[in-house]
Parts: sequence; C-alpha cells; structure tokens
Amino acid sequence: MAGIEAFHLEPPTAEDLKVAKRAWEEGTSRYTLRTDDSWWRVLRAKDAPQAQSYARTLFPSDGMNRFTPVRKGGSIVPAAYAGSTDKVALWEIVLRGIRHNGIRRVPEREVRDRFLVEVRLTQPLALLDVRRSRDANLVIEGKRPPDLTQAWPSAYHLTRAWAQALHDSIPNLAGIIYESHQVNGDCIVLYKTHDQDVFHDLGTSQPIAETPVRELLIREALKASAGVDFGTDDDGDAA
Amino acid sequence: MSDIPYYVSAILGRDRKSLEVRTKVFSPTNLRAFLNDDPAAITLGPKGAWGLESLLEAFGRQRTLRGGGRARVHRWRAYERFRYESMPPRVRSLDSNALEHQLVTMNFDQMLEAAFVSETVLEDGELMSVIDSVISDAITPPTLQNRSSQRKSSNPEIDNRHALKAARQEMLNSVGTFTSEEIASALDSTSSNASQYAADQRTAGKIFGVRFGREWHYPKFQFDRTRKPIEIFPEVKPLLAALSPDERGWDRLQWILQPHEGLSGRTPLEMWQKDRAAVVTAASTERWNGRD
Repeated sequence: MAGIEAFHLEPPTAEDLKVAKRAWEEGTSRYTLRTDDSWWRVLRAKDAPQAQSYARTLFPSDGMNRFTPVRKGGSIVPAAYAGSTDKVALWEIVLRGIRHNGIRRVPEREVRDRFLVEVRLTQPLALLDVRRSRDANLVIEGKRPPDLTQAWPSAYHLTRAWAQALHDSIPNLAGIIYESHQVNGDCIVLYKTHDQDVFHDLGTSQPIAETPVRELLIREALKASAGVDFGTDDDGDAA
Repeated sequence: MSDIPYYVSAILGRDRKSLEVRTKVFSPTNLRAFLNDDPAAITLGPKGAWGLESLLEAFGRQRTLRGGGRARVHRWRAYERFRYESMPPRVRSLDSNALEHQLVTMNFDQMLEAAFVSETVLEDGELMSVIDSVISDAITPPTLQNRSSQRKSSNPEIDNRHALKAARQEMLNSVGTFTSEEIASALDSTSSNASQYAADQRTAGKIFGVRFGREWHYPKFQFDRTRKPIEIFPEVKPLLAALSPDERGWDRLQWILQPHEGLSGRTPLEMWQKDRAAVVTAASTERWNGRD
C-alpha cells in the first residue's frame, strides 16, 4: 500500500503566537458561543443516563486528537468536542476514518457503547475562531495560515502543538471553534476554565447503534460507499 | 519515467455552461499550465483510465463552481491509488505547492492513478460526498467495483450489509490470508482437526484470525515464512492483547491496514517487516474503548 505523506503544517513561532495573542486581545479572533445554540456530542458510556451525565462536563482524556490533550502544570486539561449538527458530530467522531484512511468500513468499536447527546451551553463562552479566513489572525502578516482544520490524523501532533501553544499564550482560553473537514458545519473544542458544568443536556441521549441515529449513521456512511459494522452476526457476513 | 504514457487532465470553468476538459501528455510544464488556469479538478493516469465524464457530470449538476482563485490559499483533496494495490484510493489534503512538488518529483514507475479536486469547490459538503463516490468508483480496481456496485435497495440496512461485505472482502484481499487447514499444515501441527487447532491458537491469543461468514481467515503477515515450518512472530501476542477485545477480528485488521499517527502516517502493515516493536508500541497507545 502507498504511504501517506505527513501533512505540511509548521509549528507556531514565537512571533506567530504574539500575533495570535494580540488578535485575541483586540477581539478580532474571538467568537462568542450563545447559550441558545444547540450542539451535539458523541460520547462513550455504558448507558443513556451516564452519557447524559458525561455530556454536561469536560473530561481529561489522553486520547490523541486534533486539539487535545493540552496540558497545564503537567496535568491534562479537561476538554470536550461538539459539532454544530448531529451529522457533524457523527462524521467527526464516528465516521471520520472513512475519508482519512480509504477503508470503507466503520469499525465496530466506533459504534459500540456510544451515544449522541444534544446540549446547550450553561453560559456564553468566548472561543478562538480559527475558521477561514479568521485563521489569518494566527500568524505574522504575509505568512500562510496553518490549516489546523484540514490536517489529517498523521499531522495531529502538529495541530496539538498549536493548541498547546495557543492555550499557553492566551490566558483562560475556553476553547476553539473550527470548521468540519468532513461535512458542512462547525466544531468546537472546549477547555476547562471553571468548575461549573459547561453544558445542559436536553434529555436526548440516543444510542447511535439504535434507530433513529442508526439509520442516519448508515445513510451518511453510504454516501461515502462505506458500511457500518454494528457487530451483529449478519453484518456483511452472509454469503 | 517508465515507457507508459501518462496524461494530465484538467476540468476548467466557473459554471456548468463553461465546463470543459483539457488533456495533455504529462509534463511539469503542462501541469503548471493547468494549475495556473485555476482548475476545479486535475486527474492523472494512463489515458482512458479515468472517469472524467462522471466527474464532469457531477460538477455540471452545480449551478456555479466556487472559484478557487489564486488570491487565496488553495488546497486540494487528493485521491491516489497505485495500480498494483487492491484497495480503494487513499484520500488526503494538500496545498498547491505540495501538489506540484509531488507530481513533478513523482516516479511514475509506481503506476499512480490520482485525482485532485479543489477544496474550494468542495466546500459544499454534499458535493464532496458525490465527488468521493464518483472518484472512488472510477479509480477503484475493477475487481472491487463489481462488488461495490451491487444493486442498491431502498432499505439502508440491506445496503449497509452489502457495503460492509464489500469492504471486508477488500480488507482480506489486501492483507492476504491462510485458511485453518493451511495454518495447521504450515505450523507442522500433529492435530488431526485443523479447524480446532487453529481455533485453539486463536482462542489462546497466539494467532490473529478474522471471521468472514462461517470461515476464519488468518492474515499472512503474522507468520515468519522464512522458517520451516513457519513460525508465528512473537510480537503477535502483545499486539493482539493491546487491540482487545475484538471477537471477530475486523477492527484489528482495519487497524493494521490504516495509517497511524504513531508510525508517521504509515500503516502498521507497512511497518511490520521493518519494525514490529514500533507497531506493538503504536498498538499499546490505542484507547480501544476509552472514554470520549
């Protein structure tokens, strides 16, 4: 099989970070999330009530993702990802591998014990906006903005380096808003800045392996000619 | 460069009325000329190997194509497959400089078939899905196309089953496998029941099996075939322990076949012969069922 080249993405320089901090202080790179906007989270849990409980909070996961983990004082900063629609959340968490690795199968472990939960913020939060063209605020003038939202998993060590540097440079950074590389819509990653719950859950915790989310998941995967493995005996085994 | 002629084609135009395809023999000069014309897509391969008409049709359904424009950063969604591969195309993202550098320095003896679609055009997510399907169908090996073009039903569960079956067959083809009988024979087993022997080894976590239908298949990479009788590489056991649970083996096989950040974006299968310890280390960093 062909190898995949590392994504071309430079780590931030000290000059870039000064620019990013100044843009933040001037408000040009800030985006305020409102409390009446719905967001969608996909979470692994043993049952729906546990998923709802998890959905309200941030968690210090050591999973190697686009903008997490970031650390402060040696500890992992609790964080959470969410999508602006149910499709965005499913594509970014469950289906993302289809477009990243060329295998038209969604692994069973991506589906097992996972729940889709609709949430809203408990209070407005100001996030760093790295969507095009606001990403120009991240670098010195004349330099190409880093494509943090387009990077593939093979370059996540670089997107995490950016996230860590931005978190270190911007005091009390509550998170980042970026565009989904998978489908139309936005994604957020939130970093813990206070002890209260970050989200209200709207009581809609749904197992993604069961209808109605199951059907949505299948239809979205089929758009990319992929099948979802739910781990049942008749999934694609029948001769 | 090999004797096989390669062609570069570009889809140009701003809307469905002005769409056109231009094709030239591949050369760095011709490639740069096409890039300067700000195309919606570029394809590369032996003439006739490409579904340009399908691609054109997909673009043509759009009233307008969002112009890339050289004034802004231009990125490309790249679909690439080497002709000896039995897998669908690999998809990734790269900028114009990286695209030009790669194509100009490419060794075409490797028999690349590729398409590069402007991500500015693909900002419409629905179009991205359509283009993904069109290109996958055009670039996927014919043997796999037959499976993936199975009759579509109105029942998503049935379509899902078909898609999953095709994906599994592709995965097995790309890794190469032994049957239970071949395992028992090659490992010099004295057991008279080959299936039971392989099942015992598998249940003990010593060999890696994948269940397809009623049969178990055993990927070849896990065996040191330079030995007589062949032996199981000692790294297989810790690898399987790290990638657990996986009752039927499909998630493990997919992990083996897909690029891994801890292996500099290479697949564990690619790294296996060179550095098995690195593959085991990468597996041990997996949060197989970790909390999100």
